[in-house]
Amino acid sequence: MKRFIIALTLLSIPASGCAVAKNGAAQFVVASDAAADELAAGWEGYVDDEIARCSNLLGGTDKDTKDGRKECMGLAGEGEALEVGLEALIAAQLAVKIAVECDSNPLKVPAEFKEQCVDGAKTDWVALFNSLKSAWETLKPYYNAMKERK
Amino acid sequence: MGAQAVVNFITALIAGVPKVIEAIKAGRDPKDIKLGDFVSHDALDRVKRANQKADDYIDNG
Repeated sequence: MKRFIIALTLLSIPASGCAVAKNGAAQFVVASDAAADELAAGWEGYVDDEIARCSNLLGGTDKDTKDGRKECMGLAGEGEALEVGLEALIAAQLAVKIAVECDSNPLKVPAEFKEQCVDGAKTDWVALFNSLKSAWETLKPYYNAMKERK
Repeated sequence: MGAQAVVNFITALIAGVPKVIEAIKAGRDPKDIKLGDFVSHDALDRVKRANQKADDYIDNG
């Protein structure tokens, strides 16, 4: 959690310079991993709680139907939104990880990613940083909702 | 290779080291461990499983 707070602080600083963006992007990959895990744990717990609640509420009644259970669960597409958001976050994290490895040790970059290595001086760290920030901004409302449920 | 680049790289990888160690202990060849193993794939898998659990409950009760 502390790393996430640090990363959030970093994100409050505009990525106006290459070095700032590079540092911020690398640290944010680490912090967003922790936050994504926290988000997944919260979602798992919430789904379990909703299943238990609806089972208790509907069990043995004439509303214990597919439509009735769907209405009770009321997840409102949040699960699908989380999948899409996490996929975008992973893509942004991976882009940063590849860029960092290309920059530090291009000879050891796995073959499947090697073509993504560009001349280090041309790496657009600001764009990578902003893509990470944008991906997290999509997930942040769900993260905040998960925190409120606790 | 600049010192700062090394710091950044190590910082970004440190959080992933336990996952790599876990994968190696599970018998995976280190050469097969991809860059993606360091990131939030576990979280995505867990969300997908939770969603499937919800769908199974809705469909079957």
